[in-house]
Parts: sequence; structure tokens; C-alpha cells
Amino acid sequence: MKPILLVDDSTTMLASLSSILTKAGLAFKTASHAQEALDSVTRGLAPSLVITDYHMPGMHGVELISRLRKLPATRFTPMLVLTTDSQQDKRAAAKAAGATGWLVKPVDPAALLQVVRQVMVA
Amino acid sequence: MMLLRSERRTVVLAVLAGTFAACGLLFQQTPLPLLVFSIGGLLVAAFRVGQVVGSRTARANAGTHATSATDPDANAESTATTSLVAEREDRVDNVVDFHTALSERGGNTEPSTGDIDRIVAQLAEYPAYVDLLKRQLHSVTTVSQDAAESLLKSLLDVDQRVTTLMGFLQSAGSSDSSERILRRIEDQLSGCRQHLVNLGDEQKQSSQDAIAFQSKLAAETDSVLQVLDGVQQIARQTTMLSLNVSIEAARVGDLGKGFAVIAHEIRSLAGEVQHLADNVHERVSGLMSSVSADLREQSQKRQDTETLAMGRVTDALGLLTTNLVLLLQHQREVLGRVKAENEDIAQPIMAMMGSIQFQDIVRQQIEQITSMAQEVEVHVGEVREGLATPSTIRQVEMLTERLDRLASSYVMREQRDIHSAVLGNGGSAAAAVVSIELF
Repeated sequence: MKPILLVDDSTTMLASLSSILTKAGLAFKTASHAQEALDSVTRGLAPSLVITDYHMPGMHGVELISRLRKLPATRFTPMLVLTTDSQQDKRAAAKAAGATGWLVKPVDPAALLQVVRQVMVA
Repeated sequence: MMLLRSERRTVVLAVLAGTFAACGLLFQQTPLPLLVFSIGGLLVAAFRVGQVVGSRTARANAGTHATSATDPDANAESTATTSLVAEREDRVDNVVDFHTALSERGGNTEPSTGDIDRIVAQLAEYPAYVDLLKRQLHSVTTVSQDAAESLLKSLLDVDQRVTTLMGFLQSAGSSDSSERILRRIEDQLSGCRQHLVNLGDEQKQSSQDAIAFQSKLAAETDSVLQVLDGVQQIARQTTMLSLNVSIEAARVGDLGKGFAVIAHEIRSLAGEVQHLADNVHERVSGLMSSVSADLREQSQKRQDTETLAMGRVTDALGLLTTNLVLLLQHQREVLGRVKAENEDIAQPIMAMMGSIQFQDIVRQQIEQITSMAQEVEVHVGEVREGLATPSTIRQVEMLTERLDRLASSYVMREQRDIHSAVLGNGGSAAAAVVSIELF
């Protein structure tokens, strides 16, 4: 099973998401910033799903999605933005960049897993 | 005129300095909610400073220079700022009414150069306060992050232990394992039943052997009786012979007297033989009847006993099988309960894992507050420069404008709502947030 790629500069968020996915029996990889995620994919990681924060130092989540869409390994990979940001214009930008969905923190684990399974199947 | 404005600023900035200093002191031993309240007070006071400074500048310009009436921009600024100050006064109860304070001072309202220097010196300390504030906020972030990670680690440890325990219970009492044990027990019970069948066959054979022995004994007894019948026949013939001898002895007279005695003795002897033979016949017949009856009775008794025992053993085996099935059923119910409990425990643990995300939200809010403090620091710096160089005071950007610009970077609706409630700007407060949106 291909791993889910988690991208967030918050160690707390990464730990929380990791534990939720582990408990659900889902494999995952983590990256603490966007460039690290890009490097992982460039080096051969082909994730089944990308869940990225929006506000990160260096490169924000929507820019990451835009770049990942240009890589063969993630051209058709579902990508979710998980952020505290709820502004509509940023959602629209994410959609335009190729994001699959937008989730506002804090996200209920059961709801998150439901969305994850939904977009991974699709 | 410049001194008049400076004096008014002195009062305003003194309040701002006091508020800021109070924030710094409170922050050292203050929990987060009180800290946020203090920072809110700081921002309100700073906002008030900007408004009053702008207002006083405009009023001074309007009241002192007759030519200012011809400056539409200045008049407009004065009117707008005064109106804004009036609006804010309704919400900020603890801010000194600077207009009244100023009018009460009467004639000499302009501060000395020394006063200005002291104000500038006071304002020069603000970067240190802001630095203190930022460091304390960073400390709050670090502490909350460490606490969240520790909490999550403990939670994972609990989850791991519960998972291990539940896994052990399920594997130890898994249905497959129970089925294997039950099959083994059933095989053993089947072996027991076969032993019982064999025992029944042996019992049957034993009864048949007893019957055969009884028949053989009867046959042997018949042989003995037949021999006795022969003996009795010989005794009868001997008696008849002795009678004939007695008759012949009588016919010859005295010469036959000796034969007559011998014949008598022979007849007596034959009679005793006949009597003994009858006695033996009677005893053998009685013995045969007794032995046969005893054999039959013992055989029947043993058969009844063994049949009863076998029935009891069979019933016990059946009961044992029933109890095993009940035990298995109970075990399945226990396993079902364990599985249900496992799921019930997993849900709140999972929810708590998700709740840890609060720390990331708090972190971002604190970062926003830090940015606000940074804006206040810059603003105070510009005000300080304005005091030192009065001609530049009109270029100082209003703090409200700075904070409103900062508000455009709010990521959470709650932040925009608070900003809007306090300062009347910061974005839409009514927009509902869709937590999950799939495109």
C-alpha cells in the first residue's frame, strides 16, 4: 500500500495525524516543510494521498500542491489542505492549484479518516 | 502650539506606557487567558493613543491657525478622527478623558524640553517590553507544544497497552482456538463412547460364556445322573436276583438256607445301594438347580449393574458435551464483549489524538498576537520619532490602520470576529466556516 504523505511544520500536528493514521492501519510518511515533501517525491516517493498544511515557512501548501501536480508521481494523486485558515479566497486558490479538498483544523479524526478513504478510493 | 500637542501626548502615552508595563508584569506569572486580556488592553490603549494624538493634532491645527479653515483635508481629518474617537469612547471605559484633563490644566499646557526628553526616554523602553512579551509568548508556545507532545505520547502508550491487551484476549480466546480445543475434547469423548461400546460387547460375550458354562454344567450333571440311573438299575436287578436266589434256596430246603442268608444280605446291600443312588441323584439335581439359578442371578445382576453404569457414563458424557458447547458459547460472548469494549475505548482515544491539534491552533494565534505586539512596537517607535521631530508626526500611520492591515492575515474566523468586535474592522464576522470541503 502506498503511504500517505503528511506535510506540516507543526510537530504536534504531525504527531496527531500520525497517530490517527496508525490507529486506522494506514501507512504514511511525514515532511516538516514543503520543500522536504517535494524532495521526497522527487527521490521516488509515490504517495497515495497528500495532506498538507497551508501556512508553512518557505513555501505554503497551495504552492506545494501546484508543484506536485507537475511531477509525474503525483500528477493524479489526491491532495488535501489541512489548515486553520478558513478564508474562501485561499480555498479557491487551492482548488485552482489542483487541491482535492480543504479541511479546517481541528479536524475530527473520524471525519478525517472518512475523507481520506473517500478520496483515496476515488 | 507644538508644546501643547506634546503635553497632550504626554498624558496619552503615559497611559499607554502604564498599560504596556502592566502587561509585561502580568505576563511573567499569568495564565494565557489573562495574558490575552492584557494584550487586548495594550492594543486598546495603543489604539487610543493613536486616535487622541491624531485628534489633538487636528484640533490644534484648527484652533490656532485661522488659515487651517481653508485646509479641507485637515478639517476632514479632524472631523473624522473626532467622530472615531467618540465611537471608541463608548467601548473603552478605562481610558482617561484627555479632553477634560487638558481643559482642566488651563493656561500653561505646553511641556518643557525636559518633559519631552523623559517621554522619549520612556518610549525608548518599549522595544524591551515588546521583546519581553514576544519571548514570553514563545515560552507559552514551547510549553504548550511540549505538553501536547507529552500528552500524545502518554495517549499512544495507553493505546498501545490497550491494543496489546485486547489482541491477547482475542488471540487467546479466538474462535479458531476454541474450535480446536472443542474438537480435541470431542475426539476424547468419542473414544470414551467407543470404550463403552467395547465394554458392552465384552459384557454380552461374558453373559454368553456364562450361559455356555451353565449348559455344560447341566450336561455334565445329566451324565452323572445317567450313571446314577445305571447304578439304581443294577441295584434293582440285584434285588430281583437276590429274590430269585432266595426262592431257589427255599426250594432246596435246608441245603439252601445258606444261600438264603447270602441272598438276603445281597438284597440288603442292593437296597442300600439303591438308597445311596437315590440320595446322590437328589443332591446332584439340587446342586445343578442351585448352581444354574445362582449363575443366572449373578449374570443378570452384573448385566444390570454394568448397563446402569454405562448409562450413567453416557449421560455424563452427553452432559459434558453440552457444557462444553455452553462454555464455547459463553467464550464467544466474552470475545464479542471484548471486541465491543475495544472499539468503545478506541473511539475516545482517537478523539483525544485529534484534540491535540488545539496546540497548533494556539501556536498560530500566539504568532498573530506576537505580530500585533510587533506592530505596536513599530508604531511607538514612530511616535517617539515624531516627538523628537514634530514635523514628522503627521506622517505617523494610525495604529488602527496597522492593526487592520494585520487583520487581513488572520486565518481563523474567531480572530476576525474579535478584531471586528473591538476595532470595528478585520473582515466579515458572519461568514460561516465549512470545516470540510471537497472540490
